[in-house]
Amino acid sequence: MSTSNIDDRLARLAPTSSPDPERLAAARSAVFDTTEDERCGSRRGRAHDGAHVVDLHDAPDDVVTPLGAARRRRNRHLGAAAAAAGVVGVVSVGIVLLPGEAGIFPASPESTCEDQLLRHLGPLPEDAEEPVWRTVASESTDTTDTTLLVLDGGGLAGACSEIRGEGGGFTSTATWSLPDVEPAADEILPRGITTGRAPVVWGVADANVTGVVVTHEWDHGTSRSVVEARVTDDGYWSAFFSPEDRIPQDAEPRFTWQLEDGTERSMALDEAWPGVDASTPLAEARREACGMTFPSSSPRLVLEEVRDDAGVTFLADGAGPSVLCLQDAGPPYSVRLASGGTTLEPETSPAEEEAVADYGGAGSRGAALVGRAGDDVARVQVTTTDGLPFDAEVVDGYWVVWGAALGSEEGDDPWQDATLRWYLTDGSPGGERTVFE
Amino acid sequence: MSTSSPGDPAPADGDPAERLAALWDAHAVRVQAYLLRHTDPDTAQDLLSETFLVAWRRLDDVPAEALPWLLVVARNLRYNAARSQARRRLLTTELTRLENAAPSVSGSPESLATERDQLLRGLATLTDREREALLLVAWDGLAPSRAADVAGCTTAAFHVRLHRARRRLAAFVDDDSSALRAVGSSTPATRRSA
Repeated sequence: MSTSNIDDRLARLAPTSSPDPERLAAARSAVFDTTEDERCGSRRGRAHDGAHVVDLHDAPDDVVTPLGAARRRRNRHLGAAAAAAGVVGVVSVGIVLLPGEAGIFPASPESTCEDQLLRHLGPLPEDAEEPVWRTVASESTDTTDTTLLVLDGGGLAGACSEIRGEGGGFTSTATWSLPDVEPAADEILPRGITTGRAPVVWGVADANVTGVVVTHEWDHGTSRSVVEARVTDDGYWSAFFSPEDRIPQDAEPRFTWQLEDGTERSMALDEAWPGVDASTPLAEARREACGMTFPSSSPRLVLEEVRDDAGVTFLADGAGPSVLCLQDAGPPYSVRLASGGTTLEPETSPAEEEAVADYGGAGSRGAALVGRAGDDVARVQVTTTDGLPFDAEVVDGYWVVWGAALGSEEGDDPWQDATLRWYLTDGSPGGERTVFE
Repeated sequence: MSTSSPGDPAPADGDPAERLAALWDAHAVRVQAYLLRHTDPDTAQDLLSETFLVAWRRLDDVPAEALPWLLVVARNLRYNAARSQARRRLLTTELTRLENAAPSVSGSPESLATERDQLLRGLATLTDREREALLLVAWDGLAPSRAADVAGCTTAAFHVRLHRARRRLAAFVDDDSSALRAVGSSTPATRRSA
């Protein structure tokens, strides 16, 4: 069948009369009753036939019309102190700032954003299919165009914000590699947060979630912004901000969401890292993002810790196997490095005043090294061949050292010829050796 | 198809109520069909009312070629509603929505009913954007430049989307027809073996 007659065949199916005359009549009654009331200045109630009746007197009047640019926001409160505060113009890691280019942004921020993301991602493999992006949300204000796209099939998302004016304006682009993790029942998952002048906060939600509210607080709680996120039919939620929102860079969002049964839940971002003895839905999702398969049936969380923008999760069973996951400290908790190994047999465990290295790894965005320490070892330090010293976390007979700064695109191994030093509980040096002799 | 109806009310000065009534008569069915493609019947009814109420309150903004303007308002209201209401995608599939928007005409010949079924199933397999591109042109009668406004993309992007949609729908119809023919030819053999 040729494509030329598809339109003709479809046109024959076009509804020429109302597909639902009863509801059309009811809608007409609602409109004209309301307009009549508005003309007469009254708000009298009216009786309608049929079960489905809508009172349009309070219908939203802030919808974006084709000629307007009103924002679709509710429940916004900005403190006076915040309004007077300066706006931090620095954006977080992972965001590319481009100089403003007059005329680059025509009618569609969506298609422009697709191009921006492709440039951000760099050249595709020759045999790769052209990425197909789906628009999750797109919003324009007087100053800012923001678009959030996800790759068809998942795995990657990106957001573009263009701030107009101010010497040509500027554009920020952020991309996120998405782990294959779904929100638990009745839960939401933050997927991406950018800071800077036009922050973007977005995520996914379970099917029972009916609404999501994003709250920022700053100045010790004296200023705050409360924004109802847009929620799509397929479970994405997003809230976009512009410079006039004046959200400080260090104001962490908090989330509140409603379920179909009317109950409400909330979450703070630090619930992703509650410590090894605690569990929260966000922490479980974050751990799941690591995708770690433990070789024995009784793994134990030994260490979870965040430093700057990266965090480490270390599991062991006390007998031999252990695994380590280095991931982004914030959503979507992308994995920077996953490594695992089997330590030496118990009979060859280090002596009480000894420390040994077991395994390590390095990637483009971080490196980590795992070892064990005897009972009298209190502190472990690893110095790379470049002379950079890193203090390890010593927990339950294991030690773990990691650093986001040790990542290398070239695949350099920072642990090659690195030096391991350890110190005893009385503070005295315990010994020194090359990491992997 | 023309993008403006012969019944399009002139934006000239006049009685606002009469102009609203004329807008309703000219476009309500189209807006209702558009909304039924995207949401359930009750929500579509609400949003249809709200769309024309926005038109009423901003009557001076409504251009002479009113349908694309009304569809963009309906689209934006739909986005707003989606933020605050329960998601119903599991209850209302794409195919159900399409069937709601284009009900079969009683007394249609069987061949037309078959074609309708085939095209609607094909439409349901397209992406949201591709389906919308096809229907804004084929059902709502918009020119691609106006349809691009409603779809929220550039005219060039819309043309690409439309081309892909036509190609994919045509491929579906071809495959589906082949499968039907294959089923038809295998039926006697099945009967013989039984």
